[in-house]
Amino acid sequence: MNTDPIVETSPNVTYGLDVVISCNISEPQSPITGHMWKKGDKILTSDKEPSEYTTYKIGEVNGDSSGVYECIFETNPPVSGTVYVTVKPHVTAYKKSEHGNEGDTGVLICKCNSYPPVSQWTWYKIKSDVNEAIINGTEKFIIKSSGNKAELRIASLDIEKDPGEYICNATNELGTSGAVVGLRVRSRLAALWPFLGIVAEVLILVTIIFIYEKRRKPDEVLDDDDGGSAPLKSNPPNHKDKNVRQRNAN
Amino acid sequence: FAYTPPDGGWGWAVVFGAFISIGFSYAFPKAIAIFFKEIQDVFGTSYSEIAWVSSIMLATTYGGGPISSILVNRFGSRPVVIFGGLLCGIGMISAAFCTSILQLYICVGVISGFGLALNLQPSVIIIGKYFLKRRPIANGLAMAGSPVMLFTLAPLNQFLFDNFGWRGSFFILGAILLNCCVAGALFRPIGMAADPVRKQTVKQAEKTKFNKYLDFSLFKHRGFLIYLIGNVLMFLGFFAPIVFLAPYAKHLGIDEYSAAFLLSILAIVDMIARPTTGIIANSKWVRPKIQYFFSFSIAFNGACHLLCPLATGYTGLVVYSVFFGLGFGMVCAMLFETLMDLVGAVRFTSAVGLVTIVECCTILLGPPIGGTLIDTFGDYKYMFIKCGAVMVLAGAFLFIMNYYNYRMLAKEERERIATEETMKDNKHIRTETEDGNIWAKEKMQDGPEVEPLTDEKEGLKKEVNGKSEV
Repeated sequence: MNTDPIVETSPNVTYGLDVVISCNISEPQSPITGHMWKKGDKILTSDKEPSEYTTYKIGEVNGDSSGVYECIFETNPPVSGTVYVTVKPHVTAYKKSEHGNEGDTGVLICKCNSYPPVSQWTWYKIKSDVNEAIINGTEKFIIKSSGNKAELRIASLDIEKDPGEYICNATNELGTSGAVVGLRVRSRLAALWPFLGIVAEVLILVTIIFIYEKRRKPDEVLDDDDGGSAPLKSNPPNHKDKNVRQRNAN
Repeated sequence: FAYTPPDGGWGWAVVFGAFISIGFSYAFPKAIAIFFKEIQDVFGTSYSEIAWVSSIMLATTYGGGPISSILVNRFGSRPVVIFGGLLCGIGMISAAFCTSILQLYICVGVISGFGLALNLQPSVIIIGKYFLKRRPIANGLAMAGSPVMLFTLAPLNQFLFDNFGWRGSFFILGAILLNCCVAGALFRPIGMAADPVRKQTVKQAEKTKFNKYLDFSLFKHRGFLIYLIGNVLMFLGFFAPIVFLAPYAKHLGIDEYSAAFLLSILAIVDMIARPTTGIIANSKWVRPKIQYFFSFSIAFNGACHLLCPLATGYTGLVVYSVFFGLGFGMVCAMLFETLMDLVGAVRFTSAVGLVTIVECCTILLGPPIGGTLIDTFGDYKYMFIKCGAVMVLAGAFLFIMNYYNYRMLAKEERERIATEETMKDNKHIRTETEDGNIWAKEKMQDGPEVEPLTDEKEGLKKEVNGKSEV
């Protein structure tokens, strides 16, 4: 009587600093030619051992190491088991501090690539007494969230009210955690001062160049490096000037 | 009516102005790519839609060439460049307030692009008016503006973006571009004061009027046609490798910063290569046969691209970047010098406009064709092979055709001397022997900096520019 092979796995983990997960196959139907460990689509290790027991060292359980691990016994056909390494959400901000211009739209982005995926995102603005929840769908705030990424868009940035720190909270089966993103609003006029400075520089230089030219005009002599040529008359009003130049003419 | 170009003195101030103008014209369309990702997010467009901004800018800068030439023929370089600088500034300042990608196409692409066209051509033209004996050096120095400006603008743009956002940056860049007006102020008109269009007989006016504004008779000029065909071919393969160098490096597994560094290496070698090439091209051994040197540098560039697929590691790519930078700089340094050499400084004004508008098409086609090759074959090497082959072909074409041209010119020269001996004409021009070189074509005439053409001078001018009817 044939029984299907049974793969026993080590328990699912949510914590640990030196974690090793393992799989154990009983009653393989054909010889074991090797093993493979995969995380999602990525192959982590593989070997050609024939043992019924295979392990993989994860090390510290955290956002990066969390995920779905698959152990595969290379039998014919192959048989596999699954170990889930789960954590509370591990949230990071794309940029710790975002900038926006007054009147423009500010975008704050948080992402979370840990397992299990986020089921809910919430945003708060940090205030001195109690953090203020941000409600989606108003003219001012729009929240776009999609599993592992959440975006808070703040319209018409106000330089008085909007700058500060915001929290994005991500929730999954194991709990909630978040990250802090700072928002700074630049004054609309911030670019004006360098602009005016450069325009002033341009005007001054152009004026200097033209003044220099006018002052040289009366007795202008063009430098002529191949010596011996007569100086040009500059800007003669008489265009009928018969100043035919000939070089080394006989 | 003829004068000796100063070959120095205020000419160096003009070279500096041209350095700035040319630098902005070539570097600016590339350097604003830094802002694209942000603008892409804000306006919700795709990357290729955003990239059109650069393409439109480049197309307008090259396509505006003939208009630039006409304006310089009429008004001289200085007013055109100052006006161009104002246009650039206005374009970018308006761009800071744009609310759609279409408005950006217009403000940045068309308005500022056209402003750059009014900077690029007049700058190159005025060098030809101030320099003759040292013109290759002057050209090489002025063209070095492009890599230097790119090297400066790229980090500057990043700094502006971090501190002021893209709108503030465009606003400030508008002011920075106004410095083209400073460059224009340096373009002191040379020769005699410009006259208003002189009264001519009706017959003369009809014959010369259109040619005065844009010299279409250039299309019968043998040297011009050779240059045009060769360069149009060359540009099909000229820019694509730069566009794809960083992506190719990343494709080979090199990290983003090292890939970007390859372009920096290229730029540094480029900025040294240009003035150096100018000096070499100016030497008495090279200058009479400068067309050969130009053809050689194009073919050298092509050879680099053909060998690139052999480079598999980062070191190989660094070597490639060095040689590419060298070849690129050599070609760019002589790009306009060789045209001036063929048609003479006077007709150059029109020639440069006609050449740039024709080149416009292939310049725009080159990278997309390369991109299609990469996408179709999934491999960069066909793009490099295509670019290399096209450029080697262009170099060979130019070499052979210029050999033919040099021989024809020498023959025409002998004929002309023979007829001169038998002519009693006290307006005839002697050839100049200087440092053992003979080039009789380069008498400075005409253009609004000097007197406008009259019929008799037109005849003289034809004689001077060689019997160039094919």
